[in-house]
Amino acid sequence: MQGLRDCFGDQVSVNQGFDKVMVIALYGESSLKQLILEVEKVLNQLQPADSLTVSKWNIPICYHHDTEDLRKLVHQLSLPATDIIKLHQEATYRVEFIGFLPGFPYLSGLPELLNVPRKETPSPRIASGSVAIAAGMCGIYPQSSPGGWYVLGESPLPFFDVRNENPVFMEAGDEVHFYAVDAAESEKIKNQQFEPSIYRHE
Amino acid sequence: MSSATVIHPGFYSSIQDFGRKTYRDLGVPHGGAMDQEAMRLANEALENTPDAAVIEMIMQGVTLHFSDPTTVMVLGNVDKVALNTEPIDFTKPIDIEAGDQLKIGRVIKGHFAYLAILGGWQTEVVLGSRSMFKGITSSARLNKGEVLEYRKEDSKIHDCPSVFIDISRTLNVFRGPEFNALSEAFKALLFHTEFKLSSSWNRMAYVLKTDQPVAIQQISTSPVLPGTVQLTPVGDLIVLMRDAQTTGGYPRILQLSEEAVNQLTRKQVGERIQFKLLEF
Repeated sequence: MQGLRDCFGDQVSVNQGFDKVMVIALYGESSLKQLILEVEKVLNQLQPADSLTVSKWNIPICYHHDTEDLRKLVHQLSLPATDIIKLHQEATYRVEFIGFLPGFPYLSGLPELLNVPRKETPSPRIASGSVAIAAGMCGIYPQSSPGGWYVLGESPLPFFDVRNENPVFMEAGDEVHFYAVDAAESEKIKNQQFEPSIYRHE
Repeated sequence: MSSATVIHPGFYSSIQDFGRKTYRDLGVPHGGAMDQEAMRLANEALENTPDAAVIEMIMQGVTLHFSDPTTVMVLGNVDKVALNTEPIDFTKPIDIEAGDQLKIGRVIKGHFAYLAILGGWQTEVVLGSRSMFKGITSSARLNKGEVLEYRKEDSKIHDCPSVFIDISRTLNVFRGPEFNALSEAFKALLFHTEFKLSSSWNRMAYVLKTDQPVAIQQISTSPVLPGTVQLTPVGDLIVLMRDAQTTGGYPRILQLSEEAVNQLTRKQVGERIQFKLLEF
């Protein structure tokens, strides 16, 4: 992806899904042939994901304790809430791509025991910062939105902020771990000036 | 800077330009004017650059009060436009004096109308665009009392060309990535049916009904664009529009041409459209 950017700058827009990528030529057809060649070159040089240097993030989360979503998960997964939270917190996640909402990361790596289908009827409002699971994935709502995923807790970090030089600090390929914080700590982080490097490790 | 105060914001009005095209990897939708051709023509009438920001009005026009002289252009099928309560001809640019109040009526054909101003509306630029979008710009739509800035510029308009807007019912489409997974019968149905626009439409998507539940293999969440047509298991065609999300999980069976996306915005509920397949 960086290869395409170096070559074409703002003339292309790149859009990722799970196992698909879309490259959009924004201006004219003159350089289209060259773009196709360049895309092929990049595809041929693809490295396996685990050989790439990626950022590793430790994301604070204030887990919920007694919410409707959690009660539904306990019922659907036949697991006590403490196990659900423990399993969620111990897993290692990978950012597959950013989609759905500006800054919404699709995280793979959710333990199979926590695999639950999306809600049949989406909730009208999921709060900004909500860390939620569904369809074998974990995701984070950067802004409040209707949504069909089950919320486990809230992270105080800004996952999409146009005031930051880079509005989204995570990138596709990055590794993510969650660590639990209490409500007071979460509030403290929320009120601090956000500095991504604090949450990046090694 | 001169300014216009929003006396009445209409039903749902927003500032739009060509939108954001290079932030898709952050999950940021294109956005931008629903009918980009209408926006371009409105700007052309004022000899603006094509991407100068306009006000997009859905179903009901805005009422604005202007602090300084300027020239504006209304584009769209609205029932009337009044300047200081006097009905005026709005097929050509309208000269505004300091203190004037401009009231744009109801949109009577299609759902969208545009108001361009000399030099473009000077609202905040976020990620390279003034297009309003929730979570990106400070507000998603115009509110009563809001103040919109514009440049004091001398009108340099010579003569306004007559405006042509294509209202044919045939929408040109290309094959989508999952087109080949469709049965021959369903492909035939796609191109030989006149689809009626359902009442489910907004800036994100228009829904057309085939009433033919289909068994087609689902896909993992994949990139989508404005104009991408998704097929749901109950047989609904979801035509994604400007504010659509950047990814979707339904098979992408067709892709509307850029012009066809504009054409679709000029249709209203109950009107019929037909797809015509183009080869690459």
